[in-house]
Parts: sequence; C-alpha cells; structure tokens
Amino acid sequence: MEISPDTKIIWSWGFVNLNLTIIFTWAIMVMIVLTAWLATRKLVVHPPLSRWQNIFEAIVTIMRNHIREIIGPDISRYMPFVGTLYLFIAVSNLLIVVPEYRPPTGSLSTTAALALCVFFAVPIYSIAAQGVGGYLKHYIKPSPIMLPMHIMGDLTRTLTLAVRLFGSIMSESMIAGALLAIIPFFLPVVMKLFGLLIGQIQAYIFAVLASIYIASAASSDRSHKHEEIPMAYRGGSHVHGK
Amino acid sequence: MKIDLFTLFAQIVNFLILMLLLKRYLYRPIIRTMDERERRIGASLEEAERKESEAQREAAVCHAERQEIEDKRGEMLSMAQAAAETWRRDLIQQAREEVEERQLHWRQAIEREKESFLRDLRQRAGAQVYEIARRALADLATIELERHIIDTFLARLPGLEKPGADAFQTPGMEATATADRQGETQRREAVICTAFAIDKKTRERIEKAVRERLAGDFDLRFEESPDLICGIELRAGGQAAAWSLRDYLETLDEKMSLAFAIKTEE
Repeated sequence: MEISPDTKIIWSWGFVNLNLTIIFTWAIMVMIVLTAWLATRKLVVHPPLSRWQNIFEAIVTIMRNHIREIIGPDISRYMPFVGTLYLFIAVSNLLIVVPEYRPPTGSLSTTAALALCVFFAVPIYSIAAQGVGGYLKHYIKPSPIMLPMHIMGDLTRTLTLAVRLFGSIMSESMIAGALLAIIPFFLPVVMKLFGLLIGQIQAYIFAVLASIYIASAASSDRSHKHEEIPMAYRGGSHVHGK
Repeated sequence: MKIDLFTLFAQIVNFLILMLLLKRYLYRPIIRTMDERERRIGASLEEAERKESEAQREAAVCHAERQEIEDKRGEMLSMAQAAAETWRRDLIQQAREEVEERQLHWRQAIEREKESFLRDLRQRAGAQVYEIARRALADLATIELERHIIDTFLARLPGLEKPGADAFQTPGMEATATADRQGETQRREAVICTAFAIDKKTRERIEKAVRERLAGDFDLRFEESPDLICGIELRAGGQAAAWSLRDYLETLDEKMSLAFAIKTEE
C-alpha cells in the first residue's frame, strides 16, 4: 500500500521528480484560482449578486471573522496567508471523494512545507509588526533562561503542525484502504464521509493554529498571549486527530 | 514516511504562488467589493438618518403649521358663525318688517275696498229700497211715493220755526248749519233739490210753501240730484232742511260697517 503520493513519480529529470503530490497540488491550485477568477471577474457592489460571488464572499467573510477573533481587528496582512492555508487544505481534503485522487496533505512533504511556511511566517509577521528587536526580545522573556525553551517551542510547534495534518489525512486513507480490504461494502463509504469531516476539521485547526502562532508572535506581550491561547491549540502540547 | 526535499521545496513555492494568486484574484477584489458595499451601505444609512431627522424636523414644522391652521380655522369659523347669526337675525327682522308692511298695505287695501264696497252698497241699497218702496207704494197703494214725500215735506215745513230748529230733528228730517260766506255777499237763494223730476203744479205748491216759511226776498231754484236717492231737500242761507231716506240709509250703512268689521276681525 502506498502511504504517500510522493512515491508515485510521474516524470523525473535528475533532482526534479514530478510526483502525484505536485501534480494534484497544481490541479488544486488551478481549480481554486480559476474558480476565484471566474467568480471575481464580474463583481458587483449592489445586489443581485451572482451565485459564485455569494459563495466566495461568504467564505471570505467567515475566514475574516475567525481570524479577527484570534488576531484582532487589523487582519489585512494576515488574511492571504491564513486564508490560503485553509482553502488549500480544505479543498485538498474535500476532493478525496474523487476516485483515484490522493490528497497532497497526505504527503509529509506537503504538510512539512506548509508547516515551514508557518514557521517562517511567524517571525516575518512579528518583525513586520514590532521590528527585529521586538521579535528577538520575546525569546528572553520573562527570563534569558527561557531562550532554549522558546527555540524548542518554535521547532516542536512546526513539527506538530506537519505531523498532525499528515497523520490525520494519511491515517484516514490507510484506514479506508484497510477497511475496504476487510469489509468492501458500506463501511468504506461511511469512513469516507468521516474522512471528509476530519479533513475539514484539520484544515480549520491548521489555519487557526497558524493564526494563533502569528498573533502570539506579533503581539508585544507574548507571554500574556500565550495565557489566552487554549491549551488544545498550543503547539507541542497536544496532538489532534487520530 | 519520508520527506522528499524537492517536493517540500516545490510545495512551498506552490503555496506561495497560490497565496499570491488568491490575493490577486480572490481576497483583494472580494474584500474591496465588500468594503465598498459596506461604505455605500454606511453612506446610505447616514443619508437615511439625515433624511429621517430632516423629515422629523419637517414633520414638526408641518405639525405646528397644521395646528396653527386649525386654530385659525376655529377662530374664523366662530367669526363666520357670529356673522351668519347676525345676518340671520337681520334677515328675519327685515322679513318681519316687510311682512308687517305688506300686512299694513293689505289691510289698507282691504279697508279701501271695504269702504268702496259699502259706499257702493249704500248707493245700490238706497236705490233699490227707493225703487222697491216706490214700486210698492205705486203698485199697492196706488199713490206715488214722490208725491207723498213732497206732501209730507210741505206738511212738516211750517212746523219748522226757522232753519236749524229742533223741528228738523224729527225722524227723516235733518237740519245742517254751515257757514256760507259766499251766500252772504251774493243775492239770497233757496234751492229745492229732489232726486226726481217735479211737475209744474207741484213746483208751485212747493214754492208757495217755502216762501211762506222763509221770510224775505230770495230766488228759488229747483235741482235734480240722483245722489239724494229719494226725498226732497231745501237749502237756503247755508242751512238745509231735508225729508229723505238718507237717515235710514245711514242706519243701514252703520249696521253693514259693523258687520264687515266683525268679519274682518275674524
């Protein structure tokens, strides 16, 4: 059984290996961007709105409200990053209903790439918000003794992000495959539906955690922000999913 | 479960490209549209609030003006009612006066007609009575009424001491004394007035009796007057002695007037 779509190489040229993960990622990207372009091509301010404009406005509004609840009122700079994370993961996990489709989020390379994006986005947004000094200062708060802990926290946080998403999606695929071998009827359908739900929850969790990390780093009072974050959302403290 | 570095790098690039594309084609236009809509809705709400406050202000002004108009209307209505009442009273008074004036004219007309009728009735009644009496005397007693009247007059004439004496007050006889200044300055004249023609013999008898009764020199003249109806009258020196049906007719006139007056009152 293939665990990761990375192993299915479509085209290879030296170091460059086009596997299913990249192919499906491109397909997802094309689908999302094309749909967004078609929907926003003829935007109107006053009703009646087109069906696709309504859908995308609803999606964007919901994402903005969630990000605003976590980060604060000024979310314009965070919206593309967090929103794209959610949309990409959600659409990737939603397409598992398509036969022969392998979600890119079931590849550790993809989840690690997204986790690395979050890993680098946190300091970038933090430096943009409070400068390099302000960002580095939080590593020695409340005491310089906490410096290793902060560094370790950042690394484990990124690791958990990657592994959590990968584990959830990969295990769901594996369970579905195993059940398909044991009980070929009915139960795999239920598990597929269950996998759809899990995939959407994981997309939500990934985006929310990224928002929390960015918000906590961008805030000047880092320790206070940490206290406000629910324990379940803290990187390294808990592993979500199965 | 291993990480392919090329895939890792490629996915990072893919994600960044996707983020930029979505920012370009999704977030920015959608958010801009929603912000524009929000701004327009806000502007519309502000405009609506401004118009509402303006409308409330206008409504307050209109209410005040309407109240003022209502007050003025009530005041004008009261004035109009008072004027109408005064006019009505004037009209009633005017109509009443007009009715009273018409009633007065009507009563006067009735009175005139009544008097005219009575006068005419008296004339006709006297004439009829005279005619009936004359015919009755002529037909039943074979005696002419005129001759009897003249005889009676001549028989009573000596009984008069002088004109204006009490003897003239006998029934059917009347003496009237009136000043006749012209008579004093002209030659004395006596006039025998009858309602009928007198033959020559009778005239001589009358002239003789009159000259015996009236002393002095005077002219005697005979006249016929239909107004006298029936009888004979002697006028001399502003005085007159008559033997006629006038007294009876006057009595009839009075009774008829009284009867008409009672009917008019009813």
